[in-house]
Amino acid sequence: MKPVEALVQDLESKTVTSVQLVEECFKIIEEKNSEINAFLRTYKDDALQQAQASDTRRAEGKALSSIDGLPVALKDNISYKAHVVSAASNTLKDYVAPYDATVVAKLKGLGAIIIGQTNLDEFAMGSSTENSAFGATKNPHDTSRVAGGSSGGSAAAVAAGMVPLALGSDTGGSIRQPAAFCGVVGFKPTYGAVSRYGLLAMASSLDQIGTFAGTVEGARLGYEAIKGFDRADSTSEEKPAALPAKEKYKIGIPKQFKVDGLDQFIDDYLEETITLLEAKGHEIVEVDIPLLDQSIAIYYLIMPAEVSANLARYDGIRFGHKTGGDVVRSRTEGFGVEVKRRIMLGTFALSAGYADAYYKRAQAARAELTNQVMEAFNEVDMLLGPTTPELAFKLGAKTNDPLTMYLSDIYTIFVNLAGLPGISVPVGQADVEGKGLPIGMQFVGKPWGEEQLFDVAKQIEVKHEE
Amino acid sequence: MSAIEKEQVQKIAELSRLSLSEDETTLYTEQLGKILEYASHLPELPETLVATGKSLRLEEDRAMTSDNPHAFLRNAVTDKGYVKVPAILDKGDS
Repeated sequence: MKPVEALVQDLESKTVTSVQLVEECFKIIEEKNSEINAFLRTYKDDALQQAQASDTRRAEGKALSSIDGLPVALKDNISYKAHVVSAASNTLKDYVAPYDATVVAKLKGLGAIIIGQTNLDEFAMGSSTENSAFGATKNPHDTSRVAGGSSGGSAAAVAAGMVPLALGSDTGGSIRQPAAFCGVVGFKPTYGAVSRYGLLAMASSLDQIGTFAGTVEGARLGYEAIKGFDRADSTSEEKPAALPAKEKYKIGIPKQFKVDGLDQFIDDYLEETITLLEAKGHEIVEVDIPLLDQSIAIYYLIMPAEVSANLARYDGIRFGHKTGGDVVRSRTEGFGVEVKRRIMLGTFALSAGYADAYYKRAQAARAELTNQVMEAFNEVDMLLGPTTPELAFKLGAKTNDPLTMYLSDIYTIFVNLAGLPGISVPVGQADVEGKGLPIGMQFVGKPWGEEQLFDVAKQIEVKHEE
Repeated sequence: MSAIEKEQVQKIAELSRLSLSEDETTLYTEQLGKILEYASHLPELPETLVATGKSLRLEEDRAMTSDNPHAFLRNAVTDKGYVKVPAILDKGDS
């Protein structure tokens, strides 16, 4: 499938219709989704009807926006009015969203066509989409491997050519890591840039909605469509001071990124990326962010604490798996193992006698880590490193060892802890067992440095044919 | 001593409104222990309560039109248009 920016032009010049694009999406979905399991639900008839209406608007010169008629997918934790939104959890398998998330309302208002909802780790908790109550999503590049997570369905859908643009959510890397594993661009905006109203909350001080596309420009166009202030999200930023793109950038590589177990292919591509950036006149320097080493420890105390509070609402009364008012049974039957693990971890970290040793200490460390990152930004414009320390792993390889699974988020988590924007860009593939496994590099910007990230990411992205 | 004991896991499950089998209790004790042990090496730093560096904005208290309440009640256990909750004073039927 052509990238978003080409489709937008084709729609504008009427060389393609929205109906044709939706049909193209469903041709591939029908061919591949039973194996990949990227989509949990699709709406072909409804999408074709909307596409028809979009084509009529275009014919009359009344297009709502440049993306009018563009097919889009939603991660299944984003409220889509009058449709099931399950968070890939048994507890919400029959839940019908009573309202649209702000991002969905925006997409609808711009004329985009929502074709379906994509798979995820239950309540976005996981790094492989294996924690879905509705089966794992498989990596389109090698179906014996994971797509990454938690937004694995959105990443795989774009990678497989099922849809040109998809939304995801990113709490500790849930957009960037699956994007790297699936060979697409994944973008997580600054905290407060995109409204989370209607996003099923996981960890509210970390959650952010972002975009997946085949190209950096595609991810940017998606971001333009969904960003902006919203009264309904109290963390939404009213007047962000966006940093403009520059001619040359000073780019820092944290020395803490040199970890044991960094895949050799990925390390080689990092060197290649550095060479490429230097050839374009950018300066690459090493920076020191000592607390980066502790980012996973900080995250796995703060995130579960917020999870335990946010998921208290699933009691089987207002919503959630219904067991005739038996709250404990409703939760026990409704939640999967990873969700239970995090709820309990968070409950413990917040409990009397332990909150000082765990939660409060993690909060203090988070604040200090953020200070250290901001100090590094006094020296450099942005940070660069691999998105993941390893290539997409085999299905089932880590499901019995949660800590090992958590450690794979080493490069992405600090970005959420400090509320920064980050983008994962595919830079190449590693040849493993006869399959090409994608490799992603991550750029991390200053708060509101989105345009700088898009600018640099475009300079290194691999141009590939449609 | 491990970071968490079986009895604590049972207590936490109760606080979390979850019920665990014996096997699950054993498994979670081991897994949570590993994670807490990993997380226990954080440095001690001056306490702060700022999570995101953002201050929350308060909204003006004003009435707004809402969507159809039936759409909201559709997901709840209801009886005659009311949300049914478990009885808390009596073990009998509400």
